[in-house]
Amino acid sequence: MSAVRKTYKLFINGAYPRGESGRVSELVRDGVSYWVCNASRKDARDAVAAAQGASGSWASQRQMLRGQILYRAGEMLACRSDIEGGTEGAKRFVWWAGWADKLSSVLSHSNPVSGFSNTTNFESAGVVTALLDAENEEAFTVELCDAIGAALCAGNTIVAVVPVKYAAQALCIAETLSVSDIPAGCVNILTSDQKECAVTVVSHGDVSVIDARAHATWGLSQLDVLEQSEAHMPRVNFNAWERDNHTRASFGFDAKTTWQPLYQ
Amino acid sequence: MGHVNTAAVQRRSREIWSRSLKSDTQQELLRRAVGVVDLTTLEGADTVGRVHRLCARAVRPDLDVQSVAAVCVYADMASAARAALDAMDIEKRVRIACVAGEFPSGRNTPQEKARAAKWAKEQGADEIDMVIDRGAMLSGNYKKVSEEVRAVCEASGGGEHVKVILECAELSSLSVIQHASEIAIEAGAGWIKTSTGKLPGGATPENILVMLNVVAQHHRATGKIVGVKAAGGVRTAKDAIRYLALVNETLGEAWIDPDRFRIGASTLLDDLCLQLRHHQTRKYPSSRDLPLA
Amino acid sequence: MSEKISIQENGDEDRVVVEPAMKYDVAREDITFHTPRTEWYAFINGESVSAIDGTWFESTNPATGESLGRVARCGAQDVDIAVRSAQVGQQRWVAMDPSERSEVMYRISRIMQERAREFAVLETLDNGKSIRETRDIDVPLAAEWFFSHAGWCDKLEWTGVRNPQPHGVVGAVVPWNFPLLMAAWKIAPALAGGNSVVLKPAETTPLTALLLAEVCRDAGLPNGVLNVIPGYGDTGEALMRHPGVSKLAFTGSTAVGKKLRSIAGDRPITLELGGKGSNIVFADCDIDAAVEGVVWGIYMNQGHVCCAGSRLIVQESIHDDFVQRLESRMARIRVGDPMDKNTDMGAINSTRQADMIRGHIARAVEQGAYVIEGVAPQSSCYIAPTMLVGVHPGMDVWQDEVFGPVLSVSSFRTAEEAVEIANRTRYGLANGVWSSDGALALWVASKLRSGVVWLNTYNMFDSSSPFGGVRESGYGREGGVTGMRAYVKGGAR
Repeated sequence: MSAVRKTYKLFINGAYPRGESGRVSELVRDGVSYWVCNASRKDARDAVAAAQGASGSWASQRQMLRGQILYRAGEMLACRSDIEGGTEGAKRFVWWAGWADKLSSVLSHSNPVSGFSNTTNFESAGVVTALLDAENEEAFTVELCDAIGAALCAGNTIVAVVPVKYAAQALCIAETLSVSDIPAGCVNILTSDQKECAVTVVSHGDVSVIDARAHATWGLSQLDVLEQSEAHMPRVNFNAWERDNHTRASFGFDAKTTWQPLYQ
Repeated sequence: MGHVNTAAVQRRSREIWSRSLKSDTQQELLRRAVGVVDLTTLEGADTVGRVHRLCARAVRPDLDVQSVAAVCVYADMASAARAALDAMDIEKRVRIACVAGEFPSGRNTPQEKARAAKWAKEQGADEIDMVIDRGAMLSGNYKKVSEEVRAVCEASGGGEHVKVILECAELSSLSVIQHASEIAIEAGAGWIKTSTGKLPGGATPENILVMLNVVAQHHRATGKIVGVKAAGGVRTAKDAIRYLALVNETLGEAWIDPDRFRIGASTLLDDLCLQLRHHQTRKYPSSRDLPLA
Repeated sequence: MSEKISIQENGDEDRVVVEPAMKYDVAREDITFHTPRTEWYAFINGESVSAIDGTWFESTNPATGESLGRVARCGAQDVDIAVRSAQVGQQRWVAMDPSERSEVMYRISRIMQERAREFAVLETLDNGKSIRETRDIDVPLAAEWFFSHAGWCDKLEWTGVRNPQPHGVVGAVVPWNFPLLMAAWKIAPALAGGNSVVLKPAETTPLTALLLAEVCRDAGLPNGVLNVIPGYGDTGEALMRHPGVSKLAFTGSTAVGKKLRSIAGDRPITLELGGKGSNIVFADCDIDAAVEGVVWGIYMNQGHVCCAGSRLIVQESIHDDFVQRLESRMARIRVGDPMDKNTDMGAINSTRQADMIRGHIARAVEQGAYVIEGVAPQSSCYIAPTMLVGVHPGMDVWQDEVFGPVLSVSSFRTAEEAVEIANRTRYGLANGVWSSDGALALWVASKLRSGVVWLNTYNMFDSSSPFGGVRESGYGREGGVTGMRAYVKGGAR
């Protein structure tokens, strides 16, 4: 047992700041007490700003390179035996790594409009915000990795809000991301039990996609989520995702159809 | 000339950027790079003392290193530079280039810019670095750009020593940069220059390649020589010699010459000197070994 | 109508003056990245073995003539053992969880990236192409091909095939122009589809495929899943005739491709054969860019590229200017020691090939073409970048694939005429179009009969982009969803 106890903070813009409000919660693991950050709405605002700032260059990153970076995240996570469910979590990163350079090929199509070149391509929507919870630590790891992998795969950036009880794991996973060549701001993790944190990420104007199956964890109803996000109309999901499909990632795409007349 | 295929320019410039320039080739190019430097200081805080120090370094960048091509200063420092060079530059090699005429914004009339150029020449400038009106360029007022270049060339006693700064970062598209280059040359400019150095994003391999292509085309069509100056953001010796490689493989060895190509820089000179010292001693020197410019 | 259409009429007065460029010191890559071997063994069932009948052949460095070692020459018996091993290996491979297959393939890709310099040096030694190309194109692209296809292992239903199943054993024969890359183009999708592979590399360039096999073994690829059997044409034919091979994949000459098509019978086959690509250059294009594109299109890899832009069809109004600019640009191409990092064009792959190329040039001159050349060292393994001006479609050189650094130039008046000229070829692999007019470029692209069209670019490849031809350039595509589809077949509902 190490004499130097670990501190768990937040993960925003590639750095590990303490919660701006100073609010903390006690988390007991293996009989040891840790004080983890309880993120406030200002932290949420900062996280979305970071995700928005990183979204342009991540979206225009070469797809093959996104895949290689996701694979590396898998490599880094696979060697962390201290993270419950790490092996399964790594497999999610590898699943999404394999989709990175294929998703747009599989979905895009050309449309047979006579006299035109008409194609429908799929573009990254921007910032995804995910409210994530699970029944136990192992399941949580898999859920967090799946959400992060899916968002990054589609060229989006993510703000993940997770319950304080999973703070230790979430931040350990953040550590593996820090060494995976993922640019700062692409992944942001807020540990919070505060409703205001969830409300802020859901209602923020820069958020394009909301993944909110676990809305109840933060005391929000589905209607709350929809009303809070009404101003900018992000797409919202309340259902469980299939693990063996691309839908969690492709949900974060916007279709764009471009017409170009042919010469004659 | 029309539209520029950016992808093609990137491909060719990257190809040359990946050349492996080692041993004697590198040493030769480092020396030639020093020889085409316009050692620059353009600060609000410039003083006569600071300009003297710059000129001393320009004349003798290091032991065994020959002088640079020119110093580049504000016009009101020209006489200080002239006094310093008269005292120190025995071989009379270092020229005085002055920015003149609403530098760096370019926001003024052709007449005002011409007046400023004339005054700079009276103060002792050998060369005039002028700035074009980028707003005019971007809004299609090409006539104004042409007029101001013409006016400055006339006021400077001819365009041979007039460098026209395009400010590529603001023009942003390679097609516009190509067009601006053509306008400047058509109006009598002896040189086209990438940047003022006052904005982020100065010389890049892509915009230099486009400018070299315009100059090459002009040379093919008329036999006349127009010079190119890379300025802004050229900080490392490695980049400097690669710009020379770009000139070499586009126009030929004869164009690596202070009468046809320049690099405007300040900290670059230190790196060039350090790399040359490395060639002599096979060890990595410290920048503290060099006198402050 | 242009007044002076042909440079040859005006002789030397119109020759372009190119100002000389400074020569760079030699900057050779460190060849100790490759540890020399005296013997190279076949790779069958996970083991390095000599040929049963004990025969060998030499692999030499085309730039120096030096031997790189002797290579096991596989005969019919070796082919049989390899195919049987592949059949057993395929059962092992397909019994694994798809995500486990994926993991092995990701490891192969990573090891290739780690040992990239070694692969690049070996490829340059064996093939003669410049180290700059092997380092910057061949090896990274091959590693990416494996990385990309690793991701397909557990996503095959998205290739659009219902209930996708492997074919079984894939018999693959690859050529000498991109030895490692062509091997990757066959092996990666085959493995991703759950197939096993028996690969016959070209006789002049077997080495990187053998190194790749070792990497696959180190990555944990089960025995028999990949087998590499070096040899000559007879080895390849024996492989393709073997009834144990369920799917055939061939890249090479049209002549051999036609033969294999018959040999395949009812078995699926992908053929990636010869080409005579055109670069169509319109007057409204960025001319400097088009010059670069034409040069890259024909002189990359010494012109040993099936999709090379070996025909230039330039709009008559800019013909003379364009040819002059090409001549200036050609003078800047550095031909020489492939191991020198500053070399643009390396050595021709074999004396046989060099003789063939020179024969084409001579014949073209006899038939009336005018030659313009760049510069190359005196040694016979080098051919200077060559341009034949005043070529008309009736000449042999316009129709036949030269497979060397030889560009044939003709002109056109209208877009319709350009399309017509470009399409009148027995091949149909790739074409390039240079124009600033998007509508025009897309229209021309829609009318060209080729599997690939490059607009305002040339010779670009990516693991997600399907590549292949039509007519005598073959059929089937490699890369992307379409390419992956060829390596699985539909199963019952």
